[in-house]
Amino acid sequence: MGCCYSFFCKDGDSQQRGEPNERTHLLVDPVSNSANIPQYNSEDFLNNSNTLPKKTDEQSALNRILQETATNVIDVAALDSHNLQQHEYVERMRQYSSKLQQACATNKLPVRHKLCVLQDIPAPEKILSSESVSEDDLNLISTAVTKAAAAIGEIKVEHKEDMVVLFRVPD
Amino acid sequence: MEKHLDRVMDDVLSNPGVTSCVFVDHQGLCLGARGKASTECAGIIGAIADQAAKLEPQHKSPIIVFENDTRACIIQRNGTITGAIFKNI
Amino acid sequence: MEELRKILLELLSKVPGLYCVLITDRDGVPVIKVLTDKAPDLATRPSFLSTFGLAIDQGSKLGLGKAKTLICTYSQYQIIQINKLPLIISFIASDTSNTGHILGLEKYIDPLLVNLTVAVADTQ
Repeated sequence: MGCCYSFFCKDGDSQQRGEPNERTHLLVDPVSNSANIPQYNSEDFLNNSNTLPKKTDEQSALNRILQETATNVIDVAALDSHNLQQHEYVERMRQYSSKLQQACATNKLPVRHKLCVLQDIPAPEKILSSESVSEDDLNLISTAVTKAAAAIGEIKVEHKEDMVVLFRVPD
Repeated sequence: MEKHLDRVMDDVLSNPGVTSCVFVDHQGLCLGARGKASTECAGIIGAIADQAAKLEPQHKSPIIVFENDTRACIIQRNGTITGAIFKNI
Repeated sequence: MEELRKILLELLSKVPGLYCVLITDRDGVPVIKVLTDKAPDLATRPSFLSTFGLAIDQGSKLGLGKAKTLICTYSQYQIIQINKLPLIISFIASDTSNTGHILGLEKYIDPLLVNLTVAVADTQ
């Protein structure tokens, strides 16, 4: 509530005092920071809603619809890649290279430890000489993979409806 | 489309001790997964099966087993499909 | 920076058939790249890689949300591009290589992006 109030409040002493309080404007117009920005009080806004210029409203609404459609349409022809000039490309590469050198000097990469797979096994010969895979497990995997291969061979597309339709305008 | 494969995977999971299974195609892309296994391991599973098969190319596809204290992962390839089953031991 | 290149070169050797990893800005200007001699030169040019930016803009209008990855498979190559705007990670690999494995490399590249983003940030 405090935020709404400070947005709609008139330009007061607070600006001159320079200290922010609950009446300080949160947004400053970047284009013209002058004092002749119309300051709307909340009551004025409600009363004067009829006199808002309707034409620009409609125009902006139309523009917005156009903008939305343009962003949603998939336009394959819009692949106008702005091809970089040779010099720009070389220039950028050089820039990246130097920045990368700087970045690598400051940030050290995390050290990658050499992987030693059997490090945690105290007596590998015990493990290696013990019984290998059980017969059950072997059968399990063999049958599973055979059945899966057969099932996957049966995968086919079920044609439910046409993907390409005519854009028909009703007469 | 994949009803049959779903059925096969549910079948595999019904075995005692099996926690998950993954099936991978010849390009290392995941065809189906059930249980705790993530689809990200699909690429590695395919790669492991391929590499192991190079040891004895003229023979049938090998069965590869990874084991630790509590779990095991069994991998085998059949044609273009590679399957992996994770189970508790 | 040499360390960055070393890490990326290591990634190249991880996946058989991966020819090239490029990290570029939105216009395709490379910030860092590692190539093997099998990498097709034309595909590493900005005029090709910049199409990704346009494709994801249009692709986001399909109603499925923002596009994260673009995978293009050609007769001899495949191009995988990952959206990390302002950066784009591009992988060029042979058409037979393991796409899923390449996608999995993303998590190795993520920690490197911090420095790379700094390099691109000020100019954009």
